[in-house]
Amino acid sequence: MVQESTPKIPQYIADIMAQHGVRAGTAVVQKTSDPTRFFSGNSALDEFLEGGLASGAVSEWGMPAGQGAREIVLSIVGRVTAAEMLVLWVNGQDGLEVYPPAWSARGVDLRFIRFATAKKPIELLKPVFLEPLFRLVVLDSPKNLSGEEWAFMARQARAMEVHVMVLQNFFLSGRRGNIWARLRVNCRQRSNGVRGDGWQLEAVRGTARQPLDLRAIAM
Amino acid sequence: MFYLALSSDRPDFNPESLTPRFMLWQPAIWLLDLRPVWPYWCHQAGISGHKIQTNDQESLHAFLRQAISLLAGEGVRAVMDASPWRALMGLEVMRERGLDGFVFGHNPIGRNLVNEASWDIWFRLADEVASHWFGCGRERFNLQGFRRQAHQMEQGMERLGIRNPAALVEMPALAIRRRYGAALHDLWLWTANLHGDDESNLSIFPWVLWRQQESIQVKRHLDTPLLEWEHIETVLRDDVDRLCAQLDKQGVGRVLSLEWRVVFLDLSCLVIPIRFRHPHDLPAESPHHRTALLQACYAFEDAIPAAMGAAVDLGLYEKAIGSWELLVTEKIILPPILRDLFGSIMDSGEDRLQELENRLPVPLNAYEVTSNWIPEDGYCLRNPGNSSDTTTELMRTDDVRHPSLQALGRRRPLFVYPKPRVCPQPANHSRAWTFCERIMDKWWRSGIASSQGSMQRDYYMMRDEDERAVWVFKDGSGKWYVHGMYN
Repeated sequence: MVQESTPKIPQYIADIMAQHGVRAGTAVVQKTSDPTRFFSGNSALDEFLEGGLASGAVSEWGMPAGQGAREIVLSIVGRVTAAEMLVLWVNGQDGLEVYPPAWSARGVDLRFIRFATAKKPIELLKPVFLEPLFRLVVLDSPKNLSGEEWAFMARQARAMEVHVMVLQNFFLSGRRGNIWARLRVNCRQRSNGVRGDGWQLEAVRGTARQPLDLRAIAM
Repeated sequence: MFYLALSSDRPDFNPESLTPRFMLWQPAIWLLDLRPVWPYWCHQAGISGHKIQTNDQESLHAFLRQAISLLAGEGVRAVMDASPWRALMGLEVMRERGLDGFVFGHNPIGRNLVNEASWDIWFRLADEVASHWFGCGRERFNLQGFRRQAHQMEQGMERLGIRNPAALVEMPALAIRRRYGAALHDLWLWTANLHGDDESNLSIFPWVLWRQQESIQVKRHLDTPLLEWEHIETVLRDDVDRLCAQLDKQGVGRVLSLEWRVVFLDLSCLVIPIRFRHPHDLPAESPHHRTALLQACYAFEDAIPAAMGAAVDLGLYEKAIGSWELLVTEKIILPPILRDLFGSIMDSGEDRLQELENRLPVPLNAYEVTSNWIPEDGYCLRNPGNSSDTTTELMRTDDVRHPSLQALGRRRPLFVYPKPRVCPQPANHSRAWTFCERIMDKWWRSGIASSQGSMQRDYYMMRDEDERAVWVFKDGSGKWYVHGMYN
């Protein structure tokens, strides 16, 4: 459930803010239809994300290779597929392909997820963003998204009420901003031997929460 | 199970209602290749994937049986098999015994039909195949020589008292080749199914695709030569519309591929194939034709740079397009009788996902997990539309192996390399290693038993020099490979 604290603002101002995608403090702009949030099932993570990921938005995640951080994303993907909503995962990692049995074992319903390979996802998959077919789109390691592409993604995510997660192969920096991603989070593995002991999530933008120490996701 | 051998006396039977790839084997005997449209029919039957569970298989059988009865009449004889040769053999046995109906080759009834084929049927079919090979111009094939060798083989079988081909299934194909030649060797491979449904084996099958006498095409001579897609698109849209008008005359159709034959000002020609992943309702998108033009644009952008690069440098203008032909190369026709029966499925609108896939240059893949512990064989494409290993079994939740394979899956990485990459032996840092699992490859697969050292794999999770968690294994001969990464 979303806990909202809505300040008293005149409706006409709220409408203008909604048009520009502006939120007021910790408030969530009321929409005429119920907003859909995508939860992970992990209460600490959902609280960190202030009630899950909101549809109609873009988030950016710093997840360098080899840290296992995509397990965090899979916890959200699993819940979305369990609700029988379609997910699209666009893989841009060099040389690597998805291994579906591992995804299925981690709770993803393979009937409701599709995979595409594209280093330039916006260029190749523009028709996907013009349809509200996929409720969650994950762009894994896209190559050099331009400002226009970010703007297009954000606009279409809002119009189609889709959430787009962009997973970068590097840690995000607060110095180099991204106005199109409402939420920007770095995920660092807490190293303890080869397996690691979970991750530390640190928000660069979009949530006022303190960094979160997340244990390995139980499947 | 993609090949359908069908015998129908109905003069109005049109195999194009089922697939764009078919041939007239003999008068009133059709051979159909359902691979291009298999996902479409599976979808229409309300199931996914050709590797289907028991109850879904029955649904698909029932669907196809109904569709074929409607199209070809109640007295139809049809056999569906993973090999066109076995489908034809099954059909011949049905004809000999006066049986009607629709039989699946992998069912006990279908298997018995093929096993009970006599030498008469076998050699009669062999002669038909030989005639088609001769017609196709098979390399180094002599029809008279083949008939001589077939006669020798027939006499040999009679002398040895071998009742039918099934009784000789253990005979190695090489023995047939040594005694009776390459052509009979190929037929023997198909009969004994010695390499399963290996596509390379079936590639020599003499397909002579049926071509309609009147093809659906439009021609365009441009008043002004065109170079850029923005200008070409407007004109091409009109031509796609003209194609739709011709399609409408033939009845409701779904298009699988177009051919765009472009002629440049220097009179050189370029053929640009335009393919749809799923049968596409071209007239439904009139007049904008967004899907067709998107696919045309992708094909144009792929083909034109190479053509431009190969041009003699006479100046850019010579490589402008002066005229073109646009024709429909593959389609299926859906007659009213089929649409009426399955109206509740078909009229609910094309599946939105298939429509979206038709607008993309890359596929949107869906996967299914199999009950196989070898990582490379642990999954398959859902609705592959292509023949693949028929011994692959989908994982079911009530399978006793399901919990173990799930536990294996949880320890394996989300991303793997398509082929394990050889790597140098990792340095022995005991803190950086975790043993994951030991697996054995399938020793009974040909070629593997002879290299026993490589059959065993010991998998580890370890940190590489960049501190990334990778999935490596050591095989029985001590070689190390990187197989995946824990991203």
